[in-house]
Amino acid sequence: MEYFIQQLLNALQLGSLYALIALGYSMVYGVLLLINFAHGDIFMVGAFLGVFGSITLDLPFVPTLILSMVLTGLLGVTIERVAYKPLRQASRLSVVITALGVGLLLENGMLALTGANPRSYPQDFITTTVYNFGGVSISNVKILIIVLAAVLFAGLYTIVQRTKWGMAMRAISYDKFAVPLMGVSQDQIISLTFLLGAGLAAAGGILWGVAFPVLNPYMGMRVGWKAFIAAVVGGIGDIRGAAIGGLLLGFIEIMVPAYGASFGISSTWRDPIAFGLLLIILVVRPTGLFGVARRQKV
Amino acid sequence: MAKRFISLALAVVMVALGTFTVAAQDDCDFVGEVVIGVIAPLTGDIPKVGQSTVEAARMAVEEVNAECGLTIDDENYEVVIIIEDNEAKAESSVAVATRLIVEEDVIAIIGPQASKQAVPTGQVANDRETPMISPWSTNPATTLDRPWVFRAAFLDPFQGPVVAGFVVSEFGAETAAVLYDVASDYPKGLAENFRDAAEAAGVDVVAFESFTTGDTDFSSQLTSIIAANPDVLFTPQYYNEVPLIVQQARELGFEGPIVGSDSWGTPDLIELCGEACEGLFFSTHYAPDIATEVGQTFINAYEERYGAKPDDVAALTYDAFQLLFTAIEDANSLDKADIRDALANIELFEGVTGLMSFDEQGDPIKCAVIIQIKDGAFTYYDSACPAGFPPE
Amino acid sequence: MLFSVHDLHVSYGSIKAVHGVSFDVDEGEIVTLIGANGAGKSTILNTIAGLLRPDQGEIIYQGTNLARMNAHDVVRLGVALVPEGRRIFGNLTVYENLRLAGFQISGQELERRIERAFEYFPRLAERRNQLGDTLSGGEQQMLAVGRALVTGGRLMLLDEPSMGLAPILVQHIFEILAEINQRGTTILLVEQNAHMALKLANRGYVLETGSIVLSGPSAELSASPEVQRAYLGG
Repeated sequence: MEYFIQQLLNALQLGSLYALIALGYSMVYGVLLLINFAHGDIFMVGAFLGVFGSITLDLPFVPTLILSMVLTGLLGVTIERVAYKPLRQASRLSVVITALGVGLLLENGMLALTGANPRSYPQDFITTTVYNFGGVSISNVKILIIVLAAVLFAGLYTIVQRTKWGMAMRAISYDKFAVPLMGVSQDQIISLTFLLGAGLAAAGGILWGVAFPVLNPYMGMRVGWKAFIAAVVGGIGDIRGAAIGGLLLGFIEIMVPAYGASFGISSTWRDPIAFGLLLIILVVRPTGLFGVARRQKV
Repeated sequence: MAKRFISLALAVVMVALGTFTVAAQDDCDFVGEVVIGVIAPLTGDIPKVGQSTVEAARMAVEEVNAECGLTIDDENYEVVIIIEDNEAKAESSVAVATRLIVEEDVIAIIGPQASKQAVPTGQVANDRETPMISPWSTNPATTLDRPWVFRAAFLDPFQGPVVAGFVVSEFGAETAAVLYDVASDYPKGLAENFRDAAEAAGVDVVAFESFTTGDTDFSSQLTSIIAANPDVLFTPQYYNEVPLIVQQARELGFEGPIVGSDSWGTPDLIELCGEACEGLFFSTHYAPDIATEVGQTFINAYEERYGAKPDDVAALTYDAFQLLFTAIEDANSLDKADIRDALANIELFEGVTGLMSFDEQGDPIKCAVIIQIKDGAFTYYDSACPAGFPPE
Repeated sequence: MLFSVHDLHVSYGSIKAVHGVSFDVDEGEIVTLIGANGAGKSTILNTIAGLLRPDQGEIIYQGTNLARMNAHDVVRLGVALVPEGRRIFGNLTVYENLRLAGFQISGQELERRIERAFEYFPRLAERRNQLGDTLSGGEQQMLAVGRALVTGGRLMLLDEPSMGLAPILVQHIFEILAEINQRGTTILLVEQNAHMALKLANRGYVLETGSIVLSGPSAELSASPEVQRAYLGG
């Protein structure tokens, strides 16, 4: 039982991180029908801005987190304005290639800026404390990640469900044409979407860096792909789906090695089994857990 | 940090330029060039390894050219190196090795470093009959049944028992756990060697957990390991993974010793891992604190030049160059087959990393050392030599 | 004069849809543009609303030229379009649709306008928390008009409000449009259903392949033999 609870906590931590990143994919797709392949690299920039805040500026955790979320959010807005906006009328393929290009630019730009050596946050950024409850170990880092991710998700959910900005975001995802007739500037809503998505990715990046303190400019690629898959499985375009998809991926990735051995499955099978399960979900529900089939409009 | 970055940047520029000719004495009357290929991970997961490779290679080449290069039939040949980045990827490594041999017509290759790249690249060198020395690869497969491939490092089947013996003598371990990357040749080979040696020494390996390259979350495997309650955890991973493993193990409540292998021996490990790695042990090729005269000369020159102590990659790369130079001069020829034969016939060689001789597979027989991370530095702790070595 | 259009030319790519159309609407009037499918009626409305850019021409509303304005800025001036096909947001509730229509206003004014929309269409009030997708066609049209009321028009542009609705519902909606007009909103109505439109409107213009071919008071147009033959099935 302790073993299961311990693994469940492990899964919650990993899943929360995936969820934070998956939200950005899902929001941008919802509003623009664009898969922002640079999103994983935006996450990486968020993590590195944490290095900038904590080491270069010598800031504590909370100001570093806010600084990185704001700057990364603005980076997201800038990327949309400069790279994607001119291509709104262009073919899907051009936009996808542009997004991949932006990702490479961020990766290699960061490589040139900071070098290839991995970085980490300072020792006193978050001083790890481990608590033990009847055989279950939980560190303050795990608590921080799980709680902060939940709070950020709740905040985002409130914005999307309760505010006029959120209504506009949902409205755009349903029918772009009619939105300006409501007096809503589409560009502003798109910018807001990128601001929120990139800001959450930055929070994910910093928390990732606290949990896994070896940061390199390529870190966003792999994590980004996984979060993207989580968003698709959850039902891309729906933020609840992104959160559930992220948690589910974390859960599978932890539980396969945790219990695989008792079925004679080595932990090497983690990724094949994890992605196999996700594929099965997509076969059963092609639009993902929360997705609805999009009606084609003329 | 800035300085290291600059030298890495320089290395990258050199790659971009293709060749890098070291300024030589004017009065040597060079009659030709000896072109040697160097394959190093300048970018990718382990850039520090690439940086050390390039630094040691440049130093070895400049030193030999300052002495009028290599002498063949009483004529002086200038040594030229071509450095290629393999991005720490096996496929890139194979591609650049082929390019070096076919297009640049190199006489020999130094590198690649990590077994993941060295094992497949060794096949290319062997097939194309070009001598290759991997300074750092410890996986047996790199040289196995490949007469053209050599190395400067000891082998995992030796390192495995060294670490297994150490955990018994130091910690009185009765149970052990292993966590390793199953997708990478070096950790996989060493993990298996350690397991076999530990079990032969009466240590029960209660958990043998794996992950794949690029993973950062090991909490599931570590939770399983902790549930098996081992006395010691062995993890033969690279310096960019060790901090993650150590920190996560501690967060999950593992309090026993964590032991590693030569892949730990990059000083960046200490920077990334900090307090968490203090007091831990690993086995490796050499310890600067017990260097012989040959070693001390190298360490001093390197420190003067680059402002930091050479790590094991730098020391082994430097040794690999010395072995190659010795073989070329022994062969007294620029024919690749002659050089290969001369390499195979080196009897006892004193390098920076100590005395070594070679067996019929092209593998050195040499001693290992145990290093402890103490006060934020790699500190010599103990030595372990194969039976009957060094010869009296 | 509340609103006038001078020499408006609009094209989609190389295809010209509107060739030099001019007309005007006085404060408090209901004016209708009638014409067959493809005559350019929707194009004219979408251009006025700022969704399309004209090639040339002026759209003067209270002394301001709307021709180069963004749609969301046109809304700010009090011009609201009820688009063809209603275009309500099916993933938002009735209330949210109305709330979003009041994007640029807030507080009491917003609540007052939403309440007014509910007064005109009590059916919407009953369904305030239902998703747009679950409404019937008639209810969706009510919601579309309701949104325009919240957006707050002095000038309401309606694009084919009768389309796809049962005659009884069309009757009902047109009655409410008359009421909205009586309470001070000027209406520009585009319709294929010329019969209903001319009954409601004070004046009308007849559009054929992008040009105005006939204009005059509704009664006069209804009586004209061309209109009778082409649009009133006479």
